[in-house]
Amino acid sequence: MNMDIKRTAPFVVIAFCILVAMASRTITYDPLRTFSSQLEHTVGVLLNFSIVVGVIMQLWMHSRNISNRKPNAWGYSIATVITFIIFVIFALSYGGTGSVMYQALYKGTLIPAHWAAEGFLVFLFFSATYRGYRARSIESLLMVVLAVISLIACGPATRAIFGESLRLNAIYDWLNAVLSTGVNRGILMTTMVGSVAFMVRVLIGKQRIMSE
Amino acid sequence: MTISKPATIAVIVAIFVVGIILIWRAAKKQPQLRTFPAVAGIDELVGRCVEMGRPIIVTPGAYGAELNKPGPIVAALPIMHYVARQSAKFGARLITSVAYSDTYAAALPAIEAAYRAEGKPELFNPDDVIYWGSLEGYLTGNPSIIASQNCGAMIQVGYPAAAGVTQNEMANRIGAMTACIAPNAGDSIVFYALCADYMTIGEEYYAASAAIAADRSQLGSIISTDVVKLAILAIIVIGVILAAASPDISTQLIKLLTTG
Repeated sequence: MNMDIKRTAPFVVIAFCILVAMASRTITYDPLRTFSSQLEHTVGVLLNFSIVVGVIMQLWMHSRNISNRKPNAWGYSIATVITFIIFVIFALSYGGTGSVMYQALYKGTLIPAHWAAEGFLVFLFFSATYRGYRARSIESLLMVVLAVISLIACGPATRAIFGESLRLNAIYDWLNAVLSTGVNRGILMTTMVGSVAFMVRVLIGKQRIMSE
Repeated sequence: MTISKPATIAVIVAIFVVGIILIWRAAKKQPQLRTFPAVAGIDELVGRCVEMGRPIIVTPGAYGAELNKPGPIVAALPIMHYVARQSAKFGARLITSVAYSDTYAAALPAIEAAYRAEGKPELFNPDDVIYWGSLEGYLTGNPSIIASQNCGAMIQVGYPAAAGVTQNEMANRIGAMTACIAPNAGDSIVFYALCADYMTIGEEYYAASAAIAADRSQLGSIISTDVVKLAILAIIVIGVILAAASPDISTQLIKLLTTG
């Protein structure tokens, strides 16, 4: 295929998809909306093909780890491949992913693994919060002051001790409703403007992945 | 056939304004831009890793296109490509970590192309492009890779979800520098402010993606977004004055814009 066509064709396809999606959301015309919906569905199906690429690459990498006896890795690779095979067997056997066996396997392994990951996350959240209470600059000092106000206003212990007499709730509410909401909306609006510009760049084929 | 809400038309007008200014600027001289802290920090981070003999890790965020985040992923790729080019140029080992298969399929050729563009395809190692397959894998795997490979720097691009906390904190613990470039204004921004050495957020995420390309028309689009932002600012000021003068007029105006 000609090199120019190779480069231009993806941009034409992307521009067509964007224009159809935009038009279907702007103009109330049923055939257009149906076409757009079918197009989105087709793109979704195509997108899921990438999962096949991911699975093949994973299996290729782990099988190489096992065959090369890669230090500190091949044991985990064996566990990963065995788990993959077990899940595939149960998913493709009678009842599919809705079967009792598959669900038992899913709930017995993946759900605990998920919560283990969440537990790990909580530890790092605490650690990061502790880091936040060290005022290293004017900005971080400001954050510390706001965090202390929020903690005193919302913390169950301080509420139990001081009750409503401390009157920090009003300050906290103001910080939340005025400062925090205002800043969030500002960032959100500018992000949307940025994404519009980004979309225009994609639409006219100016958004390049490879830098010059 | 009917046209939907006037607010939608406002978006289309914004698109045309951006498009027209983009094309207009493309024909003019190279625009001068402000610097983006996290982008400016990339070279420093790569240099640091080369000097310390430690690898650098780059990640396009915790989401993939399948989770309705295709825009940020596409915008992340030029930044990742740039990091890979700098790593190849100066000889730093680059580890790329992705959560989902579609991101993997997009990131792998972009990283490989960067090594080829620098004339060092032999330095590219496909095993250093890590695909986790799930959010949980990404959340726990990334900090684990940062610690086990003793990374000297981490560059986080795109939506981080909770990983913004875990990997930044782990990077801090092992003395790695971090640069975070994110489009959102969510909870992770707080932790970026706490843990990251360089941070670029909001609209500048998309601007950074264009700035890295150093293409005249792409740089023009950044200036066009500034024009639209000024217009929005003017509308906000007018709205505040109207609301103060007569709440009824502003209420009716908002109603007209949102419901048509």
